[in-house]
Amino acid sequence: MKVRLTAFAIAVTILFAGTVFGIGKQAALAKAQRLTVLFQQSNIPDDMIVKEYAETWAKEKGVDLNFQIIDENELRSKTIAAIESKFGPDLILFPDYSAYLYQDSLSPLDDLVNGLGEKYGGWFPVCEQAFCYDGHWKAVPYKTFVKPLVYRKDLIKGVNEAVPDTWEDVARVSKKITDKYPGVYGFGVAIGPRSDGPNSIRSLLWSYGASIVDKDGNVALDSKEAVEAFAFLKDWYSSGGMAPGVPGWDDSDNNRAFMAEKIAMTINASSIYDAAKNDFPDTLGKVTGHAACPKGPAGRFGNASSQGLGIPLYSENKELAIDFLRYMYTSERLKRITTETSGGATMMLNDVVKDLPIWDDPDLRALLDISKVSYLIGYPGKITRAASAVRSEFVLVNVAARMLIEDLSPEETVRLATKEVKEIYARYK
Amino acid sequence: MISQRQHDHLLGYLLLIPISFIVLVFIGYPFITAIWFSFTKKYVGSPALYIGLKNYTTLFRSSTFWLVVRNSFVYTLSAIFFKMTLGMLIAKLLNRDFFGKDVVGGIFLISWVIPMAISALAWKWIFQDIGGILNWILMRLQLVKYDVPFLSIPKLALGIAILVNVWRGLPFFALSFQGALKTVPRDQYDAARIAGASPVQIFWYVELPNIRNVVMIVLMLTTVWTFADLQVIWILTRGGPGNLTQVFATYTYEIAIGTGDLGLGITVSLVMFPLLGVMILYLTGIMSKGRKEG
Repeated sequence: MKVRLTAFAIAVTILFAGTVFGIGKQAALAKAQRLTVLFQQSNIPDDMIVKEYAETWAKEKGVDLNFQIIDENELRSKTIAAIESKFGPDLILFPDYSAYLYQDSLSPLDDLVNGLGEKYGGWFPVCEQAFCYDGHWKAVPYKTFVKPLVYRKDLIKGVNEAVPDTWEDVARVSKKITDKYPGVYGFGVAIGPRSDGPNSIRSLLWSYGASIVDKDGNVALDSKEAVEAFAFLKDWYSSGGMAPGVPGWDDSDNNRAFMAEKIAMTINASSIYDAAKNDFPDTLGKVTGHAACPKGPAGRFGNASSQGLGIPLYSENKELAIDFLRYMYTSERLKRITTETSGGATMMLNDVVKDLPIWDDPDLRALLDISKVSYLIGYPGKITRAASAVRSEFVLVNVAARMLIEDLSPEETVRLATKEVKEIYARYK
Repeated sequence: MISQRQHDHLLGYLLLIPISFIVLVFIGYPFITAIWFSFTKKYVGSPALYIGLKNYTTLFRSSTFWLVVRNSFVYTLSAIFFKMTLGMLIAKLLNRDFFGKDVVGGIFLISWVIPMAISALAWKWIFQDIGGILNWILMRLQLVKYDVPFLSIPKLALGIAILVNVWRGLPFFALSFQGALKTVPRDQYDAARIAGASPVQIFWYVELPNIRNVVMIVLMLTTVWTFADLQVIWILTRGGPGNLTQVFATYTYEIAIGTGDLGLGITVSLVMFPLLGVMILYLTGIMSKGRKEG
């Protein structure tokens, strides 16, 4: 018995000593010049270009760099864990509205962002709404990527049509393509709980003059214009011009369908165009094009998906992170990102992007043009927590999907959507 | 001077300290914190502000929440029913002698061995409308003219999720029951046959009472696992179309991670606990009663 107790005591002592040693080693490492960056994995190569910049900078400065590239879901979870525990990466990529959600935990970067804006002809208008709160910049705007109409030039020509410009044109042309080409649907985009769906539905609503809120942030979805927009969507779906499975699609389904030549048009970022050009340059690459996102009775409205780089307040390496950002944010380096991603990752400084040779290609020019008519969630109001909740709980796509599969009327759909939006806005009053 | 018995007790308690520490720190503390957060307005990065039962009342007033409750019950109860029934049938089959029994048993285990995410992706590929295997087969056999959007049809989408869950969990049931059935005393079978009992009567009056505790344990574990399942729904439908396959786990994720509203998101997951707690107590009671009668 005495032997067993003694053995146990020795084991506990070793365990304790090991733990103390490990914690001490970590603390020592933390004090060294070290930068940890958390970046989102991209369908286009901008993530690898930024990583290359970081590695070059780190080598020049003698900094121990840990550059992690992870997918969007994991990025969100890790960011939350880091912010809640006040321990983790020094520089984090914040997609869409996430910088707004965590703004109180981010360091102000006014000097850096304002300085870059002055140097390079100002930031895109959307940047201030996306990353500046109560007069303070909480993230450096990184890229915007818009979602143009991606289309098959040959199939549209095959039905004797011009490239569609309005939503009605897209619906009409898609029906003609479906009727003429067996096994091919004219149009397809996810109307399900993923990223693509909410963007498309919002774009459709705005272009019909409808919106979730008004400019003062009051719920305004219950409108004649919203009913018209949903009615148009329902008619389009019923006409057969759209792939019937879209309510169950995820973000990759339209990419897959287009690359498999099963759909002729979709609304998507430049990943489809890039894949077609790079992987099938002699076939699909030759007949794939970009056009402006469709216009409605109230005009043309795109979704401004934007990303920014922020430094959490807990970081002890803030100056190091800023030094890297200054290194990366030069005209030459930013131009390279936009150019090598064919405009898929458009940097948001006016003088940096305005005269790039890639815009001579009309398929790529469409991306820059759309970015000028693109807006964030909460438009025409501001980004709010309630607006982000409506987006992250997929209210619009869920009601749109139910309208299509349960044959709800557009009026009932708008009523259902308004009820859910009001519940969410009341939650965050 | 302490006795040998006292020494043994002391050593037992000392050996429990490390695991108790781990359970308290990594399970107990987060659980208590989660309960606290459910009574607060707690956003990521912000301090928690006490708001009483507001998260719960917000949830109970939400139409989406009641859809989630319904879907979760339908999903869980249906999956358990099929797993229990098919598991028992397969267990009885595997207890018979037939040619190739070991091979069949091995193949049967594949669904349990393959990681859940990979299984769900494969099933998604089968049921996809464009490029899906099932549609390809149906069109080749000219049974359909156009692609069937299986994952967009509401009841079918949930049905497919149940199918995947059953396919994955069936081996656990079958093997557990198979092992339990082997412990049924042979003389009870003989007595029942002599008395002229039918196979159904033998199952109900001889086998089931003998394996009751194993059935209860399997039922308890699988109810908890299925109720809290995220992977199948997340990969197949992510709660769509139109929230019609949204369950507790996916809804919690959407609110907590998507919106950064940890207070409300945690409340969604905590609402499950009373339901599961009642069930566990009930089943534990049945097992205790069974032990006393035995």
